[in-house]
Amino acid sequence: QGMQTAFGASDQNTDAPIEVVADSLEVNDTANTAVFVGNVEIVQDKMRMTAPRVEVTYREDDAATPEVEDGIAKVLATGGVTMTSGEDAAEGETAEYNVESDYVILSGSVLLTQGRNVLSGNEARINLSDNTAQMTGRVRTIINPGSSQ
Amino acid sequence: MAGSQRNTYSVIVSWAKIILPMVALGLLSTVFLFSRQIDPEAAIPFADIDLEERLREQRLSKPNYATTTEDGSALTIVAESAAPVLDGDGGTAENIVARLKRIDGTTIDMTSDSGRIEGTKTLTLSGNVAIDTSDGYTLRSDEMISAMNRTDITSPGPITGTGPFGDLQAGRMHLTVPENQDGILAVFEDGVRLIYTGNSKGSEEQQ
Repeated sequence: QGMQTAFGASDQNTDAPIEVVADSLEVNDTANTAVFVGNVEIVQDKMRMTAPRVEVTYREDDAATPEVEDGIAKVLATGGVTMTSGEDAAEGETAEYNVESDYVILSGSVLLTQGRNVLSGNEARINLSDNTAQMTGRVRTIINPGSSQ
Repeated sequence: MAGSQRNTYSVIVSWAKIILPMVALGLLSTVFLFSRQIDPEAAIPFADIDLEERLREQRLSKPNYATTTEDGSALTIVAESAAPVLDGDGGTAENIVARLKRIDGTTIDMTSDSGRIEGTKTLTLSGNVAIDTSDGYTLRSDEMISAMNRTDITSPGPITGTGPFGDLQAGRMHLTVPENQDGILAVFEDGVRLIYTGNSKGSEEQQ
């Protein structure tokens, strides 16, 4: 069963520059990937994501189409990810941020906290542009009465 | 007109007709007679100090060096001046421009203020080293050590760069071409900071 909830700062700008800080980086030209290892931190406007290992895949520039497809296609963070957007926070084993569709898919014992409400489940699908989060898989929610909504 | 009194004007004209051509002839001849003496000794524009320095250091000007690496790329190095290293084989050079042209057509251009070649194995570039590759990487650092028999470039010190991955700063870099690949593999360590601005949403925005 699924659970829809709001998540993240409302004015998250998904076109803002992405800043990544890490201990080391390996850029592989053939595979079109850049792998950051060692307490990686990704910041985009109000969204912040930290994880031990993050793999960034770039859009394959396929020669058929005239315009150059460059840009990040996907950001895959693994090994325990914490993500904060505005005052909401989310945790999960892995997080996949699809830049084009503005979705972050958190999977593996996901925990969503908003203020004093806590939601846990197997997978959360967070839409950064309209600030909704879709929780699926054994969703349990703890709503503290008297929480200012 | 009074015939007896010869007209002074026509006297002057007749004398002028004689004197002026003579003067012209004289002027013309000076062009060839008094030409500058060409002094063969002064022709060489080298100052003495330059000559002594050249003799002492066997300095070459505008040297260029070409070789092919194991993976078939062509490496050419051009410098402003070069001199052999006294205590070993190899040489130092100033204002180096090196180009590595790889078999798949990509080129890596390296420029630096000075450099040192040890034997025929490594080329050490130092002094605002700039590397530009044809597939969009530009890297700046203070010192780069490049192997000369294969594509293997290391920057022991801090390095900044831009490329498809965005703008980057890192503590160290090691760029190689692994055997099973033809593309570049660049490993940055000692703290990496990358700012990526260009995530244009879909391609329609680029039209």
